Amino acid sequence: MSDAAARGEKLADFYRRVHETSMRDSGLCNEALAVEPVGFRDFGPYALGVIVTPWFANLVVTAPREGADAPFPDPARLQLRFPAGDVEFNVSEIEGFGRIAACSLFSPMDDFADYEAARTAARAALDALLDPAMNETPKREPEPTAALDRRALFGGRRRSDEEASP
Amino acid sequence: MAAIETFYDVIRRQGVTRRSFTKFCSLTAASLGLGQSAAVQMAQALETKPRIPVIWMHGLECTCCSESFIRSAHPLAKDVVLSMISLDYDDTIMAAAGHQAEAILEETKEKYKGKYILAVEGNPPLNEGGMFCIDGGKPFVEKLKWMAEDAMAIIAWGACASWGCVQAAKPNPTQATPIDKVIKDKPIIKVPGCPPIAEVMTGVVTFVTTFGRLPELDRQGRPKMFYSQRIHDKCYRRPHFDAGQFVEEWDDEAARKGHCLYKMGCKGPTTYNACSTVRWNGGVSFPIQSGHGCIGCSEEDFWDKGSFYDRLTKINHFGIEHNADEVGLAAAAVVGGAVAVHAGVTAVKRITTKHEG
Repeated sequence: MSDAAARGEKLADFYRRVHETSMRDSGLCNEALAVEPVGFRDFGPYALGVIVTPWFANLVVTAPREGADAPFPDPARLQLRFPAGDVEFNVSEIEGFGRIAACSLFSPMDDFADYEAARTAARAALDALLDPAMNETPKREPEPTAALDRRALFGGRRRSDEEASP
Repeated sequence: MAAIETFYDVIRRQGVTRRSFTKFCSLTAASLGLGQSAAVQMAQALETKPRIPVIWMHGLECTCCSESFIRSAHPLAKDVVLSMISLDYDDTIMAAAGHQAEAILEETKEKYKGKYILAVEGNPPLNEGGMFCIDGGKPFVEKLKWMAEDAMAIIAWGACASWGCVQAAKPNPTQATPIDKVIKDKPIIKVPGCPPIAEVMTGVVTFVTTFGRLPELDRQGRPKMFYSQRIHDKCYRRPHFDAGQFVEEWDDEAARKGHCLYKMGCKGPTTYNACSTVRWNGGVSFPIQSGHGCIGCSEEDFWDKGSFYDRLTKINHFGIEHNADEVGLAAAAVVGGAVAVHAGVTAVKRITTKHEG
């Protein structure tokens, strides 16, 4: 097992304990799912992967190996650059594990029919995150034109849709 | 009437420095999710283009939208309110009254036909021919329709104008009705919230007045730049939710430690707004940070969805990728294959901001 995969497993152990204790009978869990790390790998100075649980799936960044300090400080938020774009994370301390930065992909998980679906979605999210082509489609407002254009205003929605398509 | 001034002319005359002006443009562009090039375009537009006349009307409402708007924390906020737009009519804050005020409406409608923005705070009640809200001697609904005829676009401020809010709560005796159910032939931007965040309001006005078109809207008509993120996903208490750390009763140990308020009825998991990112009062705090759950005030019919303290039982929204645009797709369960891949890719589209290079 790689160092990154081991980090994912250890983090999953923490959430397995949470699942068995405070999340039991919370009514928030999709019991068709289980806690599992998905796709943990090295990413620059970090380990990167997705933690799937019965109540959330988060993109997670941690220190690359056991005992290493997390290579990010502890402000509430952390922004990291990926090939698909910039992502904002919540930084927190996990007891017995250390500092992690997490970004919500899904929560709650009721709409996933089974574990395979959740795992497939998690893998697809990681693939998409590391795909530079995702950065090429403008998601935000297309650069606006300087001219005041009534036609553009009336057709605002349609026009920006056209501009957004490749 | 004097030649129409630009926003820049006005703020320079008021003693605002060019440095503050460019800083305002940069900050506003950033808050709109736009890059530096847009800030330059914004500066250019504000320097050269005549100000867009804005008519601000009030139906059934409590004026909390106006209160929020004029408290925008940005140092130039008062200039945004009073200078960037030519706020020709706002019965709450204008000096004119009576016939003089009504004359402004007629003049604007005629002189700026198809060029003015109609900002509406509150909504019209339709029962008894609109008799429950009389404004200038006429039912508000008539005045609204009349001013909407020649408007370029309409901004529906707050939960009242967007969804109906408390006056439309069951049994809605006055038949208070959201703007888009009354005006069908004009572009309408919904800026929901009770009230909306000041920076969101000024951001929307800035965008429309500087670029002369509507921002990108979701399927419910809300600007995507501010309403595509769910409170639950951007909440600073989210790590406590993930770790199963919940407040169980008010003022317990967990409450003091700032744990997750889900069990106390927080509506963060079903609410799309910018509170957990932009926050309130100049970014100082927001309800969850102050220890109270989100009441979901920017969501449709939030008054009729049970107590603010009832725990959400079924969260129909399918995680972060089901923003307002895609809630309709949430009915079917994700069973794997292409649908699961799509869910994953859509989630990444939601969480990423495009970067250059």
